[in-house]
Amino acid sequence: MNLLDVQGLMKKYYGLVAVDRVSLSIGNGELVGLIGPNGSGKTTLFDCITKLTEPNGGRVIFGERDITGERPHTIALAGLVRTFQQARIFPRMTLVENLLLAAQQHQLPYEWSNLWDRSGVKRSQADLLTRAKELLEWVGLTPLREEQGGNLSYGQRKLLAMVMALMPNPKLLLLDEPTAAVNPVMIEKIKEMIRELNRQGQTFFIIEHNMGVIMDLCTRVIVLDHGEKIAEGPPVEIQTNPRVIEAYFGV
Amino acid sequence: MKNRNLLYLSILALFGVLPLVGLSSYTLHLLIMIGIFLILSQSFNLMIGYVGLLSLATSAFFGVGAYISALLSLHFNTSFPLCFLAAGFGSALVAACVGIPFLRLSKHSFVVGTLAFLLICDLVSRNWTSVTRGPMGLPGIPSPRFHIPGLPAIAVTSKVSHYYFILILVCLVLFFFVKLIDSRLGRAFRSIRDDEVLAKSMGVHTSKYKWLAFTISSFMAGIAGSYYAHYILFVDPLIFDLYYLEVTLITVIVGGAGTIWGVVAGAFIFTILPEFLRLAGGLRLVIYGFILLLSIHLIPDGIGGIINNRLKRRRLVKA
Amino acid sequence: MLLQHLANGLLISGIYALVAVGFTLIFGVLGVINFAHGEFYMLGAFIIFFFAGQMGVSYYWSIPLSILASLMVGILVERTSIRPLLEKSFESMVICTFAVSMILMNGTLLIWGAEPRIIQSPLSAPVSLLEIAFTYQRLLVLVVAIAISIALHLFLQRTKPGKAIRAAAQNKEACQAVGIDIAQISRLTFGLGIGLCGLAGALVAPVYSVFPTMGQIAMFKIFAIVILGGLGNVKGALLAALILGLGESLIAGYVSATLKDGLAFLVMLFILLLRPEGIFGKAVRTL
Repeated sequence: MNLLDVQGLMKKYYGLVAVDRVSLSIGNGELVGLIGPNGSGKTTLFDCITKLTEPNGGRVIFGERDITGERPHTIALAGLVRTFQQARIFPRMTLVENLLLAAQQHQLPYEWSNLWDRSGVKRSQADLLTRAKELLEWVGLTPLREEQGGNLSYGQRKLLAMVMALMPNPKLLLLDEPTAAVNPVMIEKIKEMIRELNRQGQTFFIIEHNMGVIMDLCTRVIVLDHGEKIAEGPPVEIQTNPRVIEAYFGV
Repeated sequence: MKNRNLLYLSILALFGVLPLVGLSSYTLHLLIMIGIFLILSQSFNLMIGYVGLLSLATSAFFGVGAYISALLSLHFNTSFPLCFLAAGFGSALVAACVGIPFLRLSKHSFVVGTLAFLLICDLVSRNWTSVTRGPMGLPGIPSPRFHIPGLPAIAVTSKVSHYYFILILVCLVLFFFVKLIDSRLGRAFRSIRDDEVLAKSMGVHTSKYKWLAFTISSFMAGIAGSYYAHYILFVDPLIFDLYYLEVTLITVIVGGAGTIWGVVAGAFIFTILPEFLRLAGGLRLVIYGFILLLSIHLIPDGIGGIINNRLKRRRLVKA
Repeated sequence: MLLQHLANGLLISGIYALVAVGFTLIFGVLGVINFAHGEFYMLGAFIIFFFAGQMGVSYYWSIPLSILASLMVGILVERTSIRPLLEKSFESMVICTFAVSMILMNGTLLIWGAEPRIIQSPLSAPVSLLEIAFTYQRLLVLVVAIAISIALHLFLQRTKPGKAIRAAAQNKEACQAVGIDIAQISRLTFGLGIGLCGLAGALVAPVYSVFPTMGQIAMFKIFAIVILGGLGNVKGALLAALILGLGESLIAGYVSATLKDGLAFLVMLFILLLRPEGIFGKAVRTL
């Protein structure tokens, strides 16, 4: 059974079709790439899957659950987490708080017993804090732990956004252009992080413009053009696919 | 951390012994009013400073709380503690009901809606004369009285006793506020303020939390209103006047929305300021308008925000 | 009798329309909830009182003077207070207009005092038309309000700047892409909104009395109107203004004069609780 099953997803904006009956699946442990020229609907597809935008048709099945009718926060709580192109984080909260927030909603739900069973809450909070510190250490952001998110450089924000997405142990991670606008050293670092996590079993679905990243990391690539899926296969095949070449160079 | 707690305790002690030094009745009155406005302002601060919603209904719940408390004590002889809690929970209940449709609105419509709610409360209190006695108001509200078993009954009638009561209340409210902000709930609130879409993507049920904040905020405003009614001993529709909203607004915005101590400072400044200026009512509000205008342009983070930035810079330099 | 009430209602609707459409346009194009809008209406009335009532300028000349003076205050406010904040948060802007409203209202209160003032208009002579009792002043208000509403509609639909305003209200980025100067359009729209307020105030001053809180009272009605019509919806605002004006007049005529203000209150209450986005749909701007 696949981790993610997208069936005939469609999104229209007043007659402009942004996502045109796209179907795809992601299996457990896979590292799949999503590419396509600018405006081909990649981010919109992510938005539809995570319900930040309401699709006009189609279904999304996550694990055994039909999440088509759900809201963004329940989808996130189900283990489908995404990052944003612009490396969005919470600017007026500290790095630690950012990470705590990323996972806290997945913790014990708020129950009345929480008011007096402080030890249970304390324990889970302590666990979260430990994990947050570990993740910050992994990406080298520990010295900036108490700094406000808004004071980070763009590259640091990208790293923070990445570990925020990792905090709740997501089943599937949707990364939207993780290496965009980032210097080459950082690109390598992010690639290595993704590779390492995938080795440990983390499933990824990544939008990328950087072909080098796609070639190096992905076992399978899906190509969108004008909202339509035009090709799917291993990176080497995609590279030489005439339809893909046409889409990018408009011949 | 220990230094901070020591600082707070010493400030508390300072305020605790202040009346013993011998303050005039008028000064005590000012300090009491500062306390009341402080609680009301923190209620507004919770919404605009920590969730990011400009709720102009805060002073409406102040009035609602005042009327609930007054009516219960006048008509049913309810004891003060019950009136007080009923005012808080009553306001919260109204907020819970009104919040459901309101919080679905875009933030623009929400602002208009909350102001409309204030205007509606004003209108209702003026015209529902069978209950509120309209512009004549509700006089003769009893002073707070406590019956703790084992102790003699405590009557809060003198200015000094009112001062201690509001001092304790302010401490409780501030303590609760600090704890709230640092809790999971507080973080959820702040995530909504910072980036609502991102918060949703991180599993925060934003509409539920906004509603919760609205309800908690109105509880605070409600108890402030209740105490106000039992201090002034009179409530009339003027409690819904824009004046209270204006003072709350300027206290929080200039004090620093999103900071706790900035708002405390704001409460002091804007309750004491008119006494120093000793100006005719009209000019005072014009000056307040200019202060608010300048503040929102030049120091949008307020005094508290500036101090926070300075402190942060000093910490960075040290590191 | 019915015709009389309808005519009175139309007059009130006209005034409401002038103020409400201005407010709606400002919100639609600049994204600003102008809490000071009512104060500009009040200012229009006071300025004409100043010129015609205190300075002895003829009423006819006072109208354009009043509009001009309102516009000048509007330009001052726009330049100093609104423009610098346009890129900042929506909440900052709201607080800014709130502050401006505080200043204008309390300033007027300080200068002229709370006593209602009366202006004698040369048009106060009664006249009867189709068995409806008017004064020439009321007739003027009615005619001007209707004429301006029609002119406004044509302006927005047919002329280039009008269409630019509508475009800006819908999609700013697209406007910039086709070369429309958003800053200029914003200034134009703000001026238009303020001008309409000033005109409404100037027309209405001789009919009702003039006092500093009249702007706040008007805003109560305006809020009801934009809540009913949907924030940012010009047609909704016009229709809602018509409904409210006629409704109030009919209530005042057939039920009780003191209850007419209750209509706005009921409208607000029901719409906010049951269909808060207004009868005519969503706000132009969403989160």
